[in-house]
Amino acid sequence: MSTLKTNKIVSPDGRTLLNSTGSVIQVVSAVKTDVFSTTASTYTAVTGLSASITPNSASNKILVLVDFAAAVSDTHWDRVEWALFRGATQVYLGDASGSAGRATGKIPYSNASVQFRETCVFLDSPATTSSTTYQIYVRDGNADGGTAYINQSRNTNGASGTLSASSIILMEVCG
Amino acid sequence: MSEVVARQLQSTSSNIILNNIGGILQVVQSVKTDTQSISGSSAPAYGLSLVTGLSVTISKTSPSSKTLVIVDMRGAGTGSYNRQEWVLMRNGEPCFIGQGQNQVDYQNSAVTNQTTGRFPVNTDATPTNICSTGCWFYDTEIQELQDNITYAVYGGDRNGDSTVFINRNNQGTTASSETVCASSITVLEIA
Repeated sequence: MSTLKTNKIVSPDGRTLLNSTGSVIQVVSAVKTDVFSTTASTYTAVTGLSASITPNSASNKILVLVDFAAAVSDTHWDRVEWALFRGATQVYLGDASGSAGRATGKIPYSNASVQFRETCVFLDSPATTSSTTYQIYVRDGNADGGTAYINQSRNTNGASGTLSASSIILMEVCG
Repeated sequence: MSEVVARQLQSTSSNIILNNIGGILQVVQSVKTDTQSISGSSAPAYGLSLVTGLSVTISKTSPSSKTLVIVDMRGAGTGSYNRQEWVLMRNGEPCFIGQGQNQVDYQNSAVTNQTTGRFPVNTDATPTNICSTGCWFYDTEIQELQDNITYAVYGGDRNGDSTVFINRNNQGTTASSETVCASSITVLEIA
């Protein structure tokens, strides 16, 4: 195998084509096509909505892109939240504020059997060269029996039911 | 600093591993983790106000580069007939909005409904909802620009009679029934 070592590659007209910082050097992804649900009041991993990447340098960053389908149970005061975790650490979350939950997002309620798309775009600095796992977690934060549904509407039976797909993509960006 | 001049790089098996155009050269991001409310009266002339923290500045390595702008935002509105809208701006001007019969005029914005997006309605049955919204915009109209290009999200209630809430619901930010979320704006430079 041949390896070219340089800090920068430019075109003959002087445009930068590759930089030692900012260029994407690795992409991994996972697609989740099955359904998941939980009534847990603590953050619980959504199986299959995770991906692992091993950075080539501790100074590199990881651009995390998540797109998933979600719904909640038929009780509108539920605080059904979702969060992005790096390993066991919650990242990309709102500031602490009284007794409010801290999350990346909250799955909306509807009195109909609908479904929402939730998204996440986060540039992380994991500062490691070890395998690093990013995963979506969900919970009913005020523990009153609300259910989080991933890749499905509240109902899956009959004409009102919907089954969907979700994905997580990780891009390693040179630091 | 070492530098290689080439139009294309190929692997030893002749696969293209770097092309003259299309490579990602730079990624910058701003993350907003606090909450914000923008009332109709606080938005200038019933127009839009800056969503603080949801702006990012990039200086391109070349004038010919393009940018891919990704907004990932959470928020809430209020009543059914309120126009809780948001717009992606480039250097203070809208850059990704719908067509309309009226020009965008933030001193007289009651006449325009050109927008990037609108927060879904929160009704009496959904008072604690927080919805995800956002956009993906490939900006090809910036060839004359290179340094300090600022993309920012502006929001507000365009007919001026309610409030837009960012990273929170329309009830509050401290009770155990409430949630504080996060949002981001990301810009990628594309060769």
